[in-house]
Amino acid sequence: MTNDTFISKIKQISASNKIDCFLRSTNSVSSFLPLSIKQQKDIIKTAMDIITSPITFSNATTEIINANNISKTPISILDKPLILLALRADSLGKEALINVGEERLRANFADNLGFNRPLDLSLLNNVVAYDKIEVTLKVPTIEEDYKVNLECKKTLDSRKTKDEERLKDLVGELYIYEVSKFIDTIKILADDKVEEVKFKNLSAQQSIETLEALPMVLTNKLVDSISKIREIESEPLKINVNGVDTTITLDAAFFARE
Amino acid sequence: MAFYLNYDSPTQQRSFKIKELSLRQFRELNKYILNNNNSYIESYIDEILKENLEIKEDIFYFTNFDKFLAMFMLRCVCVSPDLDFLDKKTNIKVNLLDILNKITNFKFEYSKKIELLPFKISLSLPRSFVFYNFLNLSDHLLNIIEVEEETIYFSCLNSNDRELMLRSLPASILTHIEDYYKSLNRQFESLKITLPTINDPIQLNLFDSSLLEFLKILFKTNLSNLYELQYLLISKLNYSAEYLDNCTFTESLLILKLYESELKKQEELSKKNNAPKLPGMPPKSL
Repeated sequence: MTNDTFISKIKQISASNKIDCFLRSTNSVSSFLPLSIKQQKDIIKTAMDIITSPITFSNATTEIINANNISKTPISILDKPLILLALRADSLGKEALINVGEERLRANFADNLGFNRPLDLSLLNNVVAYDKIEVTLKVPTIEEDYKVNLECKKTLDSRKTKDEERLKDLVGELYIYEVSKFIDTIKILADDKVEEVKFKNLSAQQSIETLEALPMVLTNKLVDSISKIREIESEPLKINVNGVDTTITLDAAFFARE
Repeated sequence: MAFYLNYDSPTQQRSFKIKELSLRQFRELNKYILNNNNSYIESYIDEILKENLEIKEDIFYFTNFDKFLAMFMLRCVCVSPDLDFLDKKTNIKVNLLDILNKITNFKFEYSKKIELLPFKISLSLPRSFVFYNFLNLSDHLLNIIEVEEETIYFSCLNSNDRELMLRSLPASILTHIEDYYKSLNRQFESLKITLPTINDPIQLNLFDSSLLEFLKILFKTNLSNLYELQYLLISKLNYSAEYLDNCTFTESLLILKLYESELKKQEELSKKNNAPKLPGMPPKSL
């Protein structure tokens, strides 16, 4: 038997062990292939990139979800936590060390896997306005999130500053890239005319420059609305450990064995 | 026909026929040890074993523990069964055979079989001495994968095929690999070797470079003495460089000692008879 045939056989077996997962964005169930050894290693490797680890983790997991998504349904960032929980439970089990205050405690997250509360879509259709500027927000797909992360990482990696300086810069950079993911359109109402910019038609650089030109009051309002979306995104990760309410942190450590 | 030694592998539960370590190999190995690049030293050890094994392909079965024991055995037989700690203050001989026996008889989990239906996985010891990190454990410990009556020898695959295989195998296998790794580490905690002049006992472990570092201690010698030995045997006794290269260090030393004793006899005889001396002087002790 050739190696290729053997690999095909393993793939067939993996395909038959599919993992069903509830997608909140479409209120439906979709199937995913289990994590492979290589994929789990790729996730753990993201911890090595200390400063930009959240970005590399996010992109590594998006690549995995795309590769393992059997039905190829578009995936929203709101679907991602449940998919990652399901993949983790399949490969390493339903118990994990969870951050509770300063401690890391063992907890079973089986109940989180059963999360199937439909989304309140009204919370997501946000229009934020200030003066004559109106910004429509959207919930990005994991693909859109991935592209912005790539640009963000490219920018950060190109900086040749010392680590401390880089960290200071990083907070500002991450903040603006994060906001850009959620912008659908910006409308400017001037002299009975409406000028509209579709963010998807802008380059990454143009998006960042546009956001940097917005008034601070508006930017703060945008950040508040985005925080609400992020809050909705993390709902399936809420867990009570030994009487304390906390949130499961999805990172490389969650995918490594203690 | 070349002379073969028997290496009884505790990890494979079988014997391998292996040729003696030649003076050339001993000398070249010392050059690598002098340069102190562990990755080159390991490559050269692999080359020695491959060259000396009766069936060259058997090298694929050798775990790092086998390489260590086989080289240790060659050191005892072809160089010396003693390790000398000589300097101005100390003159200590350590019997290496005792240490070799202790390590050979050290029992641990040489392999592990796991069933994750429909997969049957055999894990074995790592092949390489050189640095491991947590991420490449699967590359080193996965040995055989069986699925639906088909078998693949993962450890014999090239790196590309391994990578492809790891892309397809379920991550749940990794948990068992990590358990085996942790269990081996625990078992090796009791394997410590005490040597004079080294304060703390040497802790041997499969997953750091300790096995290789220990081999370096065993094989390290004064290169110039090796050249001096070879020079004397060529210039005074007309041995060819090629012949000596294929002898073991022990054999070369034996020839030299015979020559030394013959010189002594001749000297005593010449004192008695006033006869002329044989040319040449023996080298310093090796």
